[in-house]
Amino acid sequence: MKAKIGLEIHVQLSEAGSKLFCDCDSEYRKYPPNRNVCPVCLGLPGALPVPSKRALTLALAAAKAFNCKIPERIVFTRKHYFYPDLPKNYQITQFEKVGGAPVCLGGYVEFLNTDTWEWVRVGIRRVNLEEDPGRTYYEGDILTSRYALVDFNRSGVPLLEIVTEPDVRSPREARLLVEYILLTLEYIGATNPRLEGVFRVDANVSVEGGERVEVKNIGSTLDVEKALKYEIGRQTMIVERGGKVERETRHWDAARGVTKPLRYKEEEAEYLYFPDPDLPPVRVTEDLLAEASKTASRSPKAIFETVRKLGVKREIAWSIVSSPPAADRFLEAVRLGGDPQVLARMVGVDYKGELRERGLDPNDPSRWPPAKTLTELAKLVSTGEYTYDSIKGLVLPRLAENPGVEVKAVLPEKVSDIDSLVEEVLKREVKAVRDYLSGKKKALNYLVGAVMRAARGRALDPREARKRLMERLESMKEPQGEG
Amino acid sequence: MEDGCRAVRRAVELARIAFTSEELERLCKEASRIAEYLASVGEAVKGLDVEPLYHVWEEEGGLRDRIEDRRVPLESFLPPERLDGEGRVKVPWREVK
Amino acid sequence: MRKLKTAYELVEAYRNGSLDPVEHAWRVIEEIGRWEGRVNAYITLEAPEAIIIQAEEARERYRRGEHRPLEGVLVAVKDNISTSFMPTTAASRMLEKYIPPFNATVVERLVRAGAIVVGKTNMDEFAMGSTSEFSAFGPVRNPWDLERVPGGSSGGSAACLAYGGCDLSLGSDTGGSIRLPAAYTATVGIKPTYGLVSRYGLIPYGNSLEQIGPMARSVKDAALLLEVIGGWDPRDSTSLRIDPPKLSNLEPLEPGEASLCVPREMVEGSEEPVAKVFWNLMGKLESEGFEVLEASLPEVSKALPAYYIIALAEAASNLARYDGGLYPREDVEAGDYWRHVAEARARGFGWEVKKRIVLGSYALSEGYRDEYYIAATKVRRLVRDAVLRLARKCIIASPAAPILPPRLGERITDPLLLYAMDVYTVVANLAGVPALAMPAGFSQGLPVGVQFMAYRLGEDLLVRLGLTVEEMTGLRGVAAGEG
Ligand SMILES: [Zn+2]
Repeated sequence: MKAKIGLEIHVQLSEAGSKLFCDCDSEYRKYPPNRNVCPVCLGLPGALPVPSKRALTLALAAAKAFNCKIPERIVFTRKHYFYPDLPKNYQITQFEKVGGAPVCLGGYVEFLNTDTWEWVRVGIRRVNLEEDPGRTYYEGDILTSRYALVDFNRSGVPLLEIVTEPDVRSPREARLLVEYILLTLEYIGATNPRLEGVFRVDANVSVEGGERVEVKNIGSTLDVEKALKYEIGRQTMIVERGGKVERETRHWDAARGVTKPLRYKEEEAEYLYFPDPDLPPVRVTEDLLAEASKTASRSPKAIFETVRKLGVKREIAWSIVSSPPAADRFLEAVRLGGDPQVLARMVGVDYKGELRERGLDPNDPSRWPPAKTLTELAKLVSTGEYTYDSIKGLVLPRLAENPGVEVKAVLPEKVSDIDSLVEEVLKREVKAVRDYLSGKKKALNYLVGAVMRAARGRALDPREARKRLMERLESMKEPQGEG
Repeated sequence: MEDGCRAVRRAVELARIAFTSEELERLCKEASRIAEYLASVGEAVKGLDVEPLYHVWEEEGGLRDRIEDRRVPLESFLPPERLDGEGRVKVPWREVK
Repeated sequence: MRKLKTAYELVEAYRNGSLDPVEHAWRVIEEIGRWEGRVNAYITLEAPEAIIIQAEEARERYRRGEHRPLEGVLVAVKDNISTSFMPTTAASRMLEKYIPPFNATVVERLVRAGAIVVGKTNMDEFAMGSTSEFSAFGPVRNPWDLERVPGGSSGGSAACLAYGGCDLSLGSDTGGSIRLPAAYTATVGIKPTYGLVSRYGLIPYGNSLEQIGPMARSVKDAALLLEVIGGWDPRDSTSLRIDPPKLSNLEPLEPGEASLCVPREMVEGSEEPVAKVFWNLMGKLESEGFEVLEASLPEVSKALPAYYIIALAEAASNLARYDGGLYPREDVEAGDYWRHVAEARARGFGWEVKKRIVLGSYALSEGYRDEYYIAATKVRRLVRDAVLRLARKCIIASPAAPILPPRLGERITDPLLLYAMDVYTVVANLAGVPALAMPAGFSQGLPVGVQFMAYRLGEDLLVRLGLTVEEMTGLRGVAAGEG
């Protein structure tokens, strides 16, 4: 059954450096409970918020990246609800009505559907910048815990709320869209999507003939797809059985893989919005916009197109683009004169694969060698000095271990005495030689392998080994022919 | 007045303050009377083309690059029994019988 | 009536060695001992030994010639202004045990200027009131007549000046809370231009309206104190980016330098004795050669309800944070969160505060927001524009309050009568302009105050006019009691 899906994506600007309205750390995870707090983010009486330029610039860069209409002045509003993790019992956000003005008044994003290789456009209804609340823990179950245990380290971290139009066509596309948006924010330098709890997704989903259901608390891109699949299936079943899908809010239970109705009373939907009197409107100046545009200039789409223009296959191109440090190294290495095809394979397939195999994060810039190292390696391949395979098999693993190392320190010794290796093998592998000479051509592959093994980690071009073997084997045939 | 009282009761819910029924009765009387008086501003601007004024000088606010960090420990103002062993704030959550 | 040294005279005497700061400190401590039991101006008093130690330090600094502008001057601070060295309760049970972990910016500046903080003054709970009767710590009484109120909400800050229990004091003015008490106690108070004084650390009531301001026994003293506390604070986004004002060495205003005007609407509702003293003063000014014009400010008729709506809406929001979590109450048992919140708020707040929170929520709630809150902000624009227009032409003069100081209990029984006490003062808060209240004379032994309003940042003009008026009335350094 056809479904309409709209998403609300909350992403922390974890790389903003400070919280939105105070100078506590935006990366709160490294602190013991309540040690990354000050009067402002605790909402103590009389403490006042002062907006951070960096957070606002990042939010505006996101608005630019999503092709948004940006207002002349940004106005923060107060949204009131009582909850233990909200120290002022209001959240400073940007409601677009009652005098408020969010950083984005509407735009769109085009994401790459990597199943069909089409760019798909989804409308962005708005983007607003707000404070993240603190974190609440419970003793055992939320329903029976005597206390809510609150850690305010997260309170006040800048949070971007991105609301899409209900344009998303399938759970799969919802997942790809979220991944694309996170990647965009990673390119901007706004967020590190791999941090625990750095983003959460709420999805609004309805099937034909049913009301809209909101699914809350989806914490991973994989779960976006799973939760929506589950929810669409559930709603379809109700409709097919002649039932009615009621408007409600459900909760994604990731452990059980089901959506569930909320077990506790929902907040009242009246938020008493009004412009925060402590925060005068912020003018979006030319300077601010220029800085935002500069920050937003690296979009996944633009970089993908640049990489494709270099003749790189789309799968490999996407693999490069989906890891920003890979894309950076790749483009720089090409600029330094490396062959794009060789580099694309090295960066997008084999080095990235090497990192993955080791359980290392390919999006962590510190895992990547400098571009000039990659250019050097690509040149060694292009000039035929080394084969790609010997670089792949012998150099890339050592680089993955130690990305800062000099090329010459990891370059394998080259085999200079192929002939003696060939002789050694021919002497030892008497049976294979006999097989070959009696017409079993397959035996040659075995013999090439034996020569490569005899190189013991030194670089040897298997084509060269094959050529030398053939020559020797052919010369062994000749006397027989004469005789 | 009935209607006024209903609106006051709704506001009481939003304000999250407990009132006894006698208090609520008194509050309804006083608040409805004040609300009626305050409603005169609605009349005053009816039909007038005036923009709301939220910040008196209508000046733009500044952005900060840095502001001196002033982190404080919760123990500096909160009684120690309100913190759990890990330093989290204990907020009453559920009735435990 | 008696005359006491003004702060300015004190500093002079300290400097030329004719008075010892320690001796003076003892004298003030004695006055407090004599009066405090009847007046109840203070919620918290610094220990006498601590005051004396600081006075000794001041003495040393004078001896070494290293004295600062307020060295050894005893300053009382309203109890809604945060001090890290004394409880800050805002006269509420809710904050009975709260000691802020930081100082308000004005307190930092006071301490840096060498002032000694004597104590925290009594007030209406969260500054919501016009008589200083709504305090969880009992009402403040007027030293001029102990059966009467000193005005509010900064009643304690005015009363301690009036009996000699401090040399200077800080109040806060949301709708007249400095000027009413000044008028009722024959003291001087300035409501500064919105944004001239940092609100950082002021426990908020109506953020968009209020300012911390100086209170004193002379115009020059008030100017001196404003000079110390004024000027831009990077921690308050609403503070204006200007240097501290230069106010303490100004000359009295001469006729011809500025004219005065009296808006009909700001005097005609006054009771007879007040009007008489007021016109008497205007007559004196005229006979000195000042031009006193009649004027009209019809917008003023809606100023009072507009003021209350805005203040109450902001208050409902500001006071949401007091939920028994970070400001725990021992008299409320743990239990269900929502019940605990409602119970903590029921016990922690006084009746007037609860009523104002409910009304503020009402004014912001859907269905009422447009005709209350939004309409009030529109009236505010009308009032501001009208006041700015008039203030460009003349200094706006009016009585500070329409009535003489009422007896205890007389006004608080009828909320509308109570609110009406602020009718002349709220105009300056809505318009953001500075206003000075000072003694105009006496009627039946009770002080009557006059109010002057100027254009934005026209504090210098007000101070100069104040000096002129003070010379005419001779009411400088006056205090209640027998000399
Ligand atoms: Zn903070």
